[in-house]
Amino acid sequence: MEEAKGALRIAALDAAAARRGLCVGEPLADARARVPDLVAHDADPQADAALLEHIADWCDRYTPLVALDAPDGLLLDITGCAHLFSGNKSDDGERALLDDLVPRLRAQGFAVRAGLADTPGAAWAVARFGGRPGLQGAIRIPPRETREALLPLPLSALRLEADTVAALDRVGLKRIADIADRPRAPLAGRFGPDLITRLDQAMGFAEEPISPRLPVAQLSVERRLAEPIAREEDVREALRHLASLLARRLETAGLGARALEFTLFRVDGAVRRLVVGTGAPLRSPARVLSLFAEKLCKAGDELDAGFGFDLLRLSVLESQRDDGTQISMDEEAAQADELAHLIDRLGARLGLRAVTRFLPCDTHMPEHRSASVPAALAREDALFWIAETTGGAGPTRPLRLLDRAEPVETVAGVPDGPPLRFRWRRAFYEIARSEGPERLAAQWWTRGADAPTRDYFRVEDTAGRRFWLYREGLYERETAAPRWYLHGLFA
Amino acid sequence: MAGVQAEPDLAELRRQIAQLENRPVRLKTQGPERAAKTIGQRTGSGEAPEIPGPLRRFDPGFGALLAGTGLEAGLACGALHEIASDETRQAGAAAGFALALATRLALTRPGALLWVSDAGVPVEAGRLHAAGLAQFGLDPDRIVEVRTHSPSDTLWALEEGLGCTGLVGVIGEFLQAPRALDLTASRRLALRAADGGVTGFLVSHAARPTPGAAATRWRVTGGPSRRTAAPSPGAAADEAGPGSETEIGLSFPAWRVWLERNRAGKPAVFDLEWDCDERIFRAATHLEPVAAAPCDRQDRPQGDSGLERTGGELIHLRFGGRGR
Repeated sequence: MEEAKGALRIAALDAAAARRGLCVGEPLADARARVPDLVAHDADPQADAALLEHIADWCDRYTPLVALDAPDGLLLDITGCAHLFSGNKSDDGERALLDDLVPRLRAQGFAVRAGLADTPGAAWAVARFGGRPGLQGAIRIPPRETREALLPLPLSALRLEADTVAALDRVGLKRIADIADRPRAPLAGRFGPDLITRLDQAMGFAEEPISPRLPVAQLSVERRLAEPIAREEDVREALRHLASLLARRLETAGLGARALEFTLFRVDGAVRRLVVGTGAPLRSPARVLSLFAEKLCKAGDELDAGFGFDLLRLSVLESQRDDGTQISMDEEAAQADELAHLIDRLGARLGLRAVTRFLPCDTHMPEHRSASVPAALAREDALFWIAETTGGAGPTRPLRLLDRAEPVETVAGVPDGPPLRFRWRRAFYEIARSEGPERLAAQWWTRGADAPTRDYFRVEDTAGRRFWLYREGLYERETAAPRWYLHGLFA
Repeated sequence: MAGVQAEPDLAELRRQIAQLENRPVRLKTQGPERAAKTIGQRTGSGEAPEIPGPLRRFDPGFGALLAGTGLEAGLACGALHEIASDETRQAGAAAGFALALATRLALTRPGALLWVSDAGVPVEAGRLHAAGLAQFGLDPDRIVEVRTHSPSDTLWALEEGLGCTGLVGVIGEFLQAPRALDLTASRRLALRAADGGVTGFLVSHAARPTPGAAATRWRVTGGPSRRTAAPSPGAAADEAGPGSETEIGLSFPAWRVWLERNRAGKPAVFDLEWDCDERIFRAATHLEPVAAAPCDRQDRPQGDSGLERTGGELIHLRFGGRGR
């Protein structure tokens, strides 16, 4: 039930309730009066939507083109997929697909009506209005018989607004046959252009693309299993097989994978997806396997094989031209290759962002001097650092920089002089020698230009620990009481 | 059949080419028999065949200070070296010493360095600063930084790194010594390092000594770094002693280093300075002489006699002083 128009109304009902004569939209009070033993639950549209997403995920096993038709429908574009289900028999694959899909969904506890037709509109119409009312099952319109199948259906089957249907009903137009051959201009003029568009879409005179909810993989290979597998070793073995199939396909296409998805379809309808990214185009089955091995290892219990997986698919989400290089006799090239693979493996388990390299940035602010970019995405030649010599003065930049400079309490001889002692993290440090200041002003050409100037000091305490302190704000010009921060640790 | 044979042939050809070009040879892992050899070598049982190529050890460049320790020729490659600091605020010193060793190692051959930080280290001790590294003498583009969320992930990343021939060294950094880094884990890493030929450095901050399979264990604290200028030429005519120099500021990183554990021989203690420009270690002469007892650490074994007595292992007595 749901609340609509000021009353609790029935939003959906099961077959038993329908047999007792209840209908959707009826106020709950009326329904209760007629059927005293009615069991009512609150409608939960969000849970319904989530469930629909799950079913859509599962339907991925039939075609990559699955679109949501909220609130209670799914559209599957099975162009070119149906023959995969016909098996060895010469009968047509579409019927076989329906015979596979409908019982499986019903076994999961869903009430299913399926329609299969040349156009999305016609399939929608026969799924909802074809056959006897309340009948569950699949109706298939054979190719080129769309028109005949649609004519006897009510006008609601055209996916029209309720108002339009009511207006048509008032003038005695009840079935699609009533309008199919009428002059179109007066119909459009009176009931809106939508009517004609919908009619054309259902009949196949107008294009109606469906928008798939997931990007379509460039290449994919899959393995259907007669007996579901649950053991991790079996999954690995199947993956090894898929990876070598994929490698051949990639090689033929002259491509290498940059992002791969391994999809596991569980018998009971749950779908698990594992995605890995790579730093360089990848084909080698052994490497694909080792990347997913990390993911599988990490997923561990989350993978939860349950009663087993019956369909495994490996797809290439992103690819890159890779014509294959000659095997290098040079050791450095071999090393770079090994390193790239290590980075991929680390990234697969820890996340690509956890494995970084230093990209130099053109700024003098210490915290922005380098950017940590994911190593898998960094180009080797962009990581160009100029060697610096210190001329015997030692490094002026610390080896370690704190993510956020930490405030310290200091005692300084003169307000703009170096500190004599300071307190950091509840410990006192007596400064033995110091060097500075090195004045770093905010970048006036960027945002945040009004940030206070910093005077940096290298200091060393009596125990030989070296720190990088700064005073924020110029004394008496920017602030009356400059504050001190510790920003880094020297070697 | 030719396809099956391709892999070992390739490794052999690479080795031959490298020898012809007089370049260092990297040994590929050759399966269990190779590991067995390495273990045999370590325990000293049976005749240990010499592994060819110059990858056996690298010279940190302070061999003179290591006289009598068995490390004069350099530190072992394909082994673990631990570097510890007494307190987190010494993180700069410990990381600096590890990076200085890694820099010496990286000078000898190409390849990247993997720096793995355990959870919590970046917050407590900061992250590596690329500009600082560049001045320190290590090219930042040779470092691949990895941040993990748990010690088990860190150990896994280290193990993966130690088995990767694309790396020259692997540095793992821990705050205190996590429970997961026990003798078993350490042995595992050491075996992996011996197998892959990659050198591992384990840096632990504020850590107590724990049993481990490392070839060496070093304890590092910062030492005074002072830059001095010679007196003006006129004044230098009569007295040109070191005492006449004037201090003008900070200079290169300097450390006091205890070689606490050494599988090759005796422990040692000395003062070092890292010349960032030349990328060499120098004995830090301006520090107090090594033989004298460190004035701030009465509780440490003093001088040579204390080291001699333990016969290869410096027993570390100092537990109460941590976090002082």
